[in-house]
Amino acid sequence: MTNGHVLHQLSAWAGQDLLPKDQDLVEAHLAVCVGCRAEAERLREARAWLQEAMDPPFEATDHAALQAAILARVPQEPAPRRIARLRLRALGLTAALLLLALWPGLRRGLSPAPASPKVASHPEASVFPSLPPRLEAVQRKLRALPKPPEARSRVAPKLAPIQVARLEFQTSDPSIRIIWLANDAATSAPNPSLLEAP
Amino acid sequence: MSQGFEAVLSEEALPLRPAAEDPLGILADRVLAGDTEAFGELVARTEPRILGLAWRILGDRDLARDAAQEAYLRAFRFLGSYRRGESFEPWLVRIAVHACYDLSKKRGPLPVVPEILESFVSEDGPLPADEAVLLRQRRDLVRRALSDLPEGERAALVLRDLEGYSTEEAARILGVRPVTVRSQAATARAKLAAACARLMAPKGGRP
Repeated sequence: MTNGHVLHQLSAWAGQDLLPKDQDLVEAHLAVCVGCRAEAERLREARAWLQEAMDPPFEATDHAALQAAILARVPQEPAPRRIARLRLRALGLTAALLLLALWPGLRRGLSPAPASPKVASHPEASVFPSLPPRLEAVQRKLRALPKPPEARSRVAPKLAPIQVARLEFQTSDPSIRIIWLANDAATSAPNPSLLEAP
Repeated sequence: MSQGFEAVLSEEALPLRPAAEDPLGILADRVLAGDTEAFGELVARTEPRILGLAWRILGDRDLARDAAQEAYLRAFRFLGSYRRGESFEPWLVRIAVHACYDLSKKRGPLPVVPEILESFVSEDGPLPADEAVLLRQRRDLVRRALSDLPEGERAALVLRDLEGYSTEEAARILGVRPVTVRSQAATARAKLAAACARLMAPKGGRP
């Protein structure tokens, strides 16, 4: 109640939407308060007018015409079928289990692939664990590259100095040359081209 | 299918009751079993209520007929989503309410009605010869006041005060919490009373 009055509760009271004890409190107040009682009467009157005004105006012929129109259109609709809820649930459960089983693979697929130059920019990492002897020298060259500065920021790669090492190998196929661009900047941008015609 | 109706199918289920107690549910089961004539019986039993509800929400006879027809076609189309044992009428009313929402979006402005009835009200009350006109205009004004309410408040008021559903039933039909229905219905009652007082006021203030 506000200052003992119940004006703000009256519309809920009119719909009997108050708790029983609040409903009783409002009624007790209305018995003694002329102002609130007048407001309650105004609400009651408005509800009565609403019910009178919103009495549906349809006659039997309206109902018959509508029913006929509905039933004339129903045959054009496909026959309804009960949804097999158990089957739906089993299908959902199977899909969830499948997703769960595939999730590690999906995550790997979604995460950006580690770019080879990034790996090459850390010489202490074993970049070529089982390379032929000819490439051992390359690995040594990579290790000889200057170490990247620590705590390089990913958000501002343009500010960091970028050192690029270009290493080329001729494969047994004369039309294929492998070019390694060893970039010490941490980046997920794809290597522009690993294969280049001579 | 409208967005509103998509929500219908995903909302909380309506109260379950043994199918044997709900003759409409039995008819729905017969329709699902292939007896399409049972749908005619279902329509015959529920159509007056659905048409009346649509008219109360929309305030327009033609639109109400369209909404009721659309509601039954949707009900037939999606009868498979009706849960066996669920109370059928609230399920149908829920579909009808959403059909009304969809059609009300297409409705143009309502016809203009006189803003106030004071010209028919003397200091001694309405003149006898004008009582019929006064009554008709009062109805128009009340309908206008109802149609001016926001969609949710109007539906809550119609279901609670005109259709006689309990707060909990209205909440399930509208897909909202009971406290929301209580609040919306109370707000709607207060607005309607204020509009009636304003529109029916003699010159210079409240009655």
